[in-house]
Formats: sequence, C-alpha cells, structure tokens
Amino acid sequence: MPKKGQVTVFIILGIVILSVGGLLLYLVQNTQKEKLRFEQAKVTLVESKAQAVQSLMENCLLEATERALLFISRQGGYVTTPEPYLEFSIFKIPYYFDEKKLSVPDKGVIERQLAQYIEEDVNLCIQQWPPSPWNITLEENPSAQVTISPATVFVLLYVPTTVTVGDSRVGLDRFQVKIPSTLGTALEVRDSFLAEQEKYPDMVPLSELIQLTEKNKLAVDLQNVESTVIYQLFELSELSEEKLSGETIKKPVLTFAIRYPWQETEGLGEEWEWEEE
Amino acid sequence: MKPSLLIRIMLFILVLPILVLHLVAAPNQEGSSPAFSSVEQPYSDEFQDDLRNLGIDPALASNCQSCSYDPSTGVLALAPGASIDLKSATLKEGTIIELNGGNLQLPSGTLSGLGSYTAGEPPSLAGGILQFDPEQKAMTIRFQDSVLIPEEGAEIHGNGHIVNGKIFLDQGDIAYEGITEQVQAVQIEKFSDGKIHLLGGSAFRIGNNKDSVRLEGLGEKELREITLSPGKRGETVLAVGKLIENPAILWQREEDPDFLVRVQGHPTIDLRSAHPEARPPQPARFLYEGQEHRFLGTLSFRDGTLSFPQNLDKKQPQMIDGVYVRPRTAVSVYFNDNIHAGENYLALGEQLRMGGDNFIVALGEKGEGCPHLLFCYEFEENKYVVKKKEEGSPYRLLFNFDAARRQKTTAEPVSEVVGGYGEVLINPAEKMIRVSGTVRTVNGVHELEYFLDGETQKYNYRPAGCGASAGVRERSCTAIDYDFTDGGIVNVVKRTNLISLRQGEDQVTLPRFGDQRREGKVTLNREQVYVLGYKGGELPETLLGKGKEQYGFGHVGLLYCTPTSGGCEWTVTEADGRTVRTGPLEDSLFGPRYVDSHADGLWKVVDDDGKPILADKVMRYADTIIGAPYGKLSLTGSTFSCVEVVCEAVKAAGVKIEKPPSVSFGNLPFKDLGVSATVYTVLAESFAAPLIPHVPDTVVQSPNLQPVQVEQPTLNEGLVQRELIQGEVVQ
Repeated sequence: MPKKGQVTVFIILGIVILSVGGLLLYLVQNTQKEKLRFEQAKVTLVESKAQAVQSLMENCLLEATERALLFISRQGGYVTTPEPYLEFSIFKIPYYFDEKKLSVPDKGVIERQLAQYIEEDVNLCIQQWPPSPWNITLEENPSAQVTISPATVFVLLYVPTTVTVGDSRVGLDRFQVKIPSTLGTALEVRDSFLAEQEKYPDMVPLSELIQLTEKNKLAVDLQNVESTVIYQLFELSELSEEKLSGETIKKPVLTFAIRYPWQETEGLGEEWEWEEE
Repeated sequence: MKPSLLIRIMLFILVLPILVLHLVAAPNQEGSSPAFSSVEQPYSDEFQDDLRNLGIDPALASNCQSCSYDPSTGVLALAPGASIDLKSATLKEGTIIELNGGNLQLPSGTLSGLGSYTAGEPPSLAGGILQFDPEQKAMTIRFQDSVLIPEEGAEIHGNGHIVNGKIFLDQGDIAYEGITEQVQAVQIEKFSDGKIHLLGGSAFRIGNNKDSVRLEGLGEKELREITLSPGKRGETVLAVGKLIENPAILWQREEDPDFLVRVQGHPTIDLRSAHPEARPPQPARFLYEGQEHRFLGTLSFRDGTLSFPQNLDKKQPQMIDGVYVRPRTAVSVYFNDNIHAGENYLALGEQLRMGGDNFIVALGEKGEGCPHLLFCYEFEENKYVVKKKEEGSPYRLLFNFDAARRQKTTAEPVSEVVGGYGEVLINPAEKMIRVSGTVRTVNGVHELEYFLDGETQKYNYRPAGCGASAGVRERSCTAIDYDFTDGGIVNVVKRTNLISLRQGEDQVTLPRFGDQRREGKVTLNREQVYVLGYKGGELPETLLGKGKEQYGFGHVGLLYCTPTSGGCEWTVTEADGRTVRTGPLEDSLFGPRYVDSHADGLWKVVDDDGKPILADKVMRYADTIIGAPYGKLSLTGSTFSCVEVVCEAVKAAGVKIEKPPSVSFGNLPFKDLGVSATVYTVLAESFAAPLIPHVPDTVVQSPNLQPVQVEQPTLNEGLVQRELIQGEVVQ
C-alpha cells in the first residue's frame, strides 16, 4: 500500500504545482497587459496633442499663405517693393514699365517673397497660440518653400517641432498647403502683356490685354493716377458679368503699375494736330 | 555830203510813208475825225437823208459807204467795218440796225458782231456783242442771244436785259476767269477778284434743265446773294449768301434764315455755305433726291457724287447733317449707310458709316461745341449720337482716319509711320460703334487707337486730354455711353474693359438733411468725391456735453459714384463702429435706414490747388479697406475710424489732407463751437490719445473740403441758427 499512497501524493503535488504555476503565469501575463495598455494610452495622448499642433500649424500656414498672396498680389509680387514704385494707399505698387521695361520679378523671386512673408507670418501666428499644459518646442525657425503653378500655389513649411507630454514626445517637421490660385497664370499674362507694351510704350495695349486675360480666364481692371496706370488682374471664375462692370471686385491676383508719357491737362496728342496750307 | 545829213535824209524817206499811211488809216479808228472821213469818202445825199431821218448825224457814221437803208423795213444795214456813233443820237423808235460786222457806239458801250439793234424804250438787241461799262450805269437795253462783255475777261451770252448798267440775265451762259456756267434768272452784280457776284431769286438756276441747282423757299421779292468762284480743280464753287428783300429798296432783312437750294439731277458744282467765317457758322440747307440736308463749308457735286474737297483751313467748318469733318483729302458723302470700300467717305443713312484715311470727323451736341481745337464752334445736331440733356455735360466723339501714326517703340526708338484704311459704323439704335482698320477714336476723355498688326485688329488706349492751347478751351469732354466694338467691347462709361473714369452730373437726394430731416437735393459730379457728415452722436456728446451734441459733427463718410452696369450708383464708404463698409447712400448712416440717421453737411473734396479730386482714386483705396482683411497684420495697418476712412482715402488720391493733430489740442477748432479752451483741454485729457484724432468736426474744417450744403448750427444763447452755406434744400 505504500506505493499506492506515494502515487497519490505525487498526483496531488503535481496538481498543486500546476495550479500554482498557472496562477503565476496568469498573474504575470495580466500585469504585462496592463502595462502595455498604459503605455499605449500614453502614446495616444502625445499623438493627439501632436495632431492638434499639426492642425494649428497648418491653419497658420493656410492663413499666412492666403494673406501672403493677398498682400503680394497688391504689390506686384513683392513683400518689400524695390524702387521705383507707386505709393497707393498703404501699398507700394512696383512700376514694371516706364517708357521701357523695368525690373520685373520672375516666378522664382515671387516664390521667395511669398516664402519670406509666410515664414514671418507663421511665426507671428505661432506666438498667438493659446498657452498649453504640454510643451511645444520649435527646434528651428519656420522655413517655407513655395511653388507657383498656373492654377495653384503649393507651400511646404519646414518647422522641426517637438511636442512633449510628460515623458512622452512626438516630433513634427513638415507641413504643407495647396491653395487654388491663378497667380502663375497671371504672371504669364503679365509677361506677354509687357512684351506687347514694349511695342507701344505710349499707350495701353488694351486689345492685347483683354485678349490675354480672356484667354486665360482672368479679368482686368485698370485705374489711372495721372500718367500712371495701375493694372489689377482678377480671377474671372469668381466674377459674374455684373460684378465685372460693378464694384465688387476685391481680391486681385496681381497688381502692377506702368507709367506713360501722358500729359493729363493738355489736349490731344500730336496725331490730332492739323497743318494748315 | 556830210554823213549826218545823209542819215537825216534817209530817215525822212523812211518816216514819210509811215506818216502818210497813218493818216489814211486814222478814219477807221474809233474817235477819229468824221470830217476827215467824210471828206475822203462822202456818202450819197440819199443815204445821208436816210440817216438824218433815222435821227443819225451822217457825220457820225464812218466807213459806212457800203451801209444801206431799206425804208420799207426801216432796217439800216451796216457794212463790215462801218461804225455809227449813237452816243448823242436820238434814234427813231423802231429803227433797226443790222450790225453785219459793223459797230454802234452807245452811251456806255459798243455794239458789234452780227445782230440787230432796235431803237426803243428800252432798245433791244438780238445777237451781237455788247461791250459796255456797267459802272457808268448808262446802259439800258434788252438783249436776246447776245454776248455781253461788261468787263475784260467776263462774258455773258443769253437773254435778258440791262437797266442802268445792271444786267438781268433771264437765261444764258456766264464766263469769267475760268468759270463757265449756265444760269437762269440772275442779276449780275459785278465781276471782281475772279468771282462773279450775282443775286438770284426763286427762279434762279445754275445748270441745265436736267442737272441744276436752284434756290428754294424765296418769296417773290426775295433774293439771295450768290457768288461763283473757281475751285482748285476747275470746278465752279457756288456760294449762297445773304437774303435781300425787296430789290427795289435793297434793304436786308434782320433775320437771315439759312438758305435752301434744290439740287436736281447730277449737276457739277460746288456748293458753299454762306459766311464761311461767321461765328457761329450758319449751316445751309439743300434738297437732294427728295431729302433735305444741312451743310457747312464746301460740298462738291460731281456726276451724282457729293464730296467735301480737301480743305486744310482750320477756320472753315465742314459739316453735313451734323457730322463735322476736316478733310485732308476729299471725302465723299453718301446718303445711305452702304460700304464704299476703298474711298474716303461718309455714308449717312440710318447708321453712320465712315471709311478712308486722311480726314477727321467730330460729333457733338447741338448748341454745344469745341470738342477739339479743330472743331471749336457750336455744333449742329446729328441723328447718330443723341444724348438726353440730363445725362450731363456735352459729349465729344472724334474719329481720326489719319493713316500717319507716329509709333515709337523701345526696341527701336524711332518714329515710323504705320496705318492705313479705317472704317467706323455708328449704330444709334444699338448704341454701338464698330471700328476696324486704322482709326483713332476719342470718346470723352478716352482715346482708343485702332490699327492692324499684320492681319490682327488691335487697339491701344490712353486718356485723352481735354485741355487748352492757343488760348482756346475745349468745352465738350464727356463720353457717350456707346459700346466700341471690334470683336471685343469697350465701353468707357460703363467701364467695360477700360480704365475707370466717369463723367456727368446727377441730382442726388439726401433723404434726411439737417435738423428737420428734410429731403434735400444736390447736383453732384460723378467724377468727384464728397464727404458727408452728421451732427450728434457719442463723441460730440462727450466733448460738448449732453444736450449739446448737435453742435458737433459726430460722423463723416465718403460719398462718390461707383459705375454699375446701369450707369452709376452713389455710394458711401464709412466706418460704422464695427467695420469699414461700402454701400448705397440709402443704406448708409446718412440714409433713412436707421432710426435717427441723417446728414447735416456735404462737402466736395479738392486738392491743394482747389481742383476736385477724382473718385476713381478714392474708390480704389476704399476697395482696399472694406472689411479690412489685412487688419490683423501690422503690415496692413490697424482699424479705421470714420475720420481715418475719409482722410486716408483722400490722401490715397494724392491730396495732403491731414488728420487732426493727435496732441496739439490748441489747433482744433472747437472754440468755434462754443467750447472754451479750458473745457476742451479737460475733455481732451480725458480721452485716450488715439481717440483725439478721430474728431469729425476737425476734418470738415479742412481747406480740402469745400461746402456744398451744410447746416451749421452755432451755439448762441442756447438758440440754434441754421446757416445754409450753399445750395438749396427742397422740402
């Protein structure tokens, strides 16, 4: 009978060992799961903050780009207009032509001007963000890269940013925005128009201007200040015919000035003179 | 023999026959001694008796040996070379003298050639050549198929009569200095300076039965001065002048209505309107192919074609039916609106079509004028561009078909002449002007230069000056609301595809004006900028005290006319306390929309020289601040007060209107409103510094604002005195 009793003991012991082992295994596994769940929650929190920062930044970028386009559209593509320019209201409208073609900013120059404006404006925008319990660190100043296409303006903003929540952190660095804009088309129209202007420096080549703008689905509005004409190109798609002839045009795509050899107070030009016998 | 004596003898031999020949020939010459003749060639006694019976002294007949008299017919037939002096003779009435190559000496002339002279009261002449001096006023005779030579180089052939030297030609030809014309029923006044001066009545005609020019509308005793002169191309120029009534008295009527001639068939003649240099020029009228037309200058008729010949004289207006023209070369005139390709022409039908080069055309308003120095006189009405009177100041439309365009290019800075033929069609029904080819047009103060670049029609633009030179001021400078088309459309009034400029005046209603909130009407210029203001409100109340706020202007705004598709809308730009906004006057704080909104003052904005500033400049600025989309950025300025809206907009137009000083309180004109300096200082110090400039009252004191209509209460023992500075308030 002792052999039979030994077997029984071993069986019971085995069951106990297995039970304890299983319990231990369960306890260990459960603890690890909890820990993982906690870690996962921490990551989600930082990411959500980072997403919020991303959204804020993109919003800044969008507004900055819109303002930049609006501003440079009234200053011939410049943020800082070089001389010669026409001071009109608060804007400095560059002269593109004064009896001969003057310095005209090409697409690359305007892209850099836009980038400059956007960088400064994004900085201002960031400063106006509300206080945050978590830490947002800009590792570098914003750096923008602008690409003007015929129908869009694409901006890539590089701002290395770290969002830290507790001991968790997330890095962000690139933001981008793509805005529908006919600035690129307007620049092409401008260049073609200036080429025509060189042929007839004493007058506004009106038919050419209208043809160019209509062909490119732009509208044009001219305003003369003494012997200077301010040219404003608009997106035609936004404007009904009524608006074209009315006074609701507000946002030009491009504005520039040309000075002509006109004498405002005199009579008609020499072409109207009459030689008597 | 001495040589000198020999020479004398030889001279005597030579001279003697000459003297003899001279004495023999002398009786044949006019004025020679009849005694000598009679001695040499005595007439028969019978013939001498016949002469005496006729009342002719035989001694006054010369070379009449072959003359004969037929008692049965009473006809004295002269022989060729015969001459009878009738100066002192009294011929028996009914005596007929056949000239037959002889001549008769009459009291102030000579009859010769082939024809017959019949004595009588008056005598008459059939055929023959009558040379006489009209100045002596001694010739009175009827003539038929005769040639009259009243002056060297002048010749009249036909029927008529002469009374005391004055020729009345019933029908015949008249020739002088290259002029040869068939005329009817004229009184020939004189021949001088290459011109024939005539008087013509209702029966006057120049030309033949088929092709002629006649005078129309004259009374039985009315005559017109008529001048025939040679044109440059060999044609005759007919000018019809003053009206003479009652030829017996020859007094001129005070009223001298323009004349009317009927052009029948296709005569070849130039018509010239009367008084080419008269101011204002008097147009002439003519009937042609059943229609009446008016013209000025010289109008040439050739084989059924009318034209204005070349005329470079600035002083002479050339006009047809209200269309004025300066022809550098001849311009044909048609009374239809067909195309006449390849020639210079005006085609005046229901539409006005013009084509060619080297001439200028002007259209203007009746009674107005001087749209250009080349056309500086009062205009006649035309039917192609008609403008309602209320649409403002006189318009001007000019079309320069001058091919010579001085083109300068930057690529090659030399002048070159380009251009060519141009065409214009004016369609009054559709208010449309279609231009093609090379034409320079001016509509108001807008110049459009149409030209061909290869085969592409193009047009350039520039503002057209409306100024002065040579002491003459151009007076008609307003644009007409017509579409200029060449495939595209340019309308300078609606500002379609064009620089913003507007002209004209509007009568604008200020719905509530003054303390009584009456309706006021003012006439405002569409091109100019005005400032509206009202008294009262928070600011004056703070400054002046409660109950006295009506003594200070509390709000100002800009008023100007914005072009619309329908014309022009009076618009206010103002800062209303929340934002800068632009809208119709009715919707502004000066309109009736709000409970107590009204206006107390209206000023015109002028520059430092007192000249009105243009609305476009201000309007453009207003556009930039509406809604202030840039307000957030320091780059684009800050918020705008109502004063800043006015000041900044006006400054944008180039006027140095200044905002009130921000700290120099003493300069502010509040003392005029009865506020003492001490009170003012206290009040001013109670304000934040940025608010001080925002005082409308100081803006309206600016010398750059000229009162149009201002209700001006002053503080005087608590009573309000209203002073109407200018303008009329309509109840």
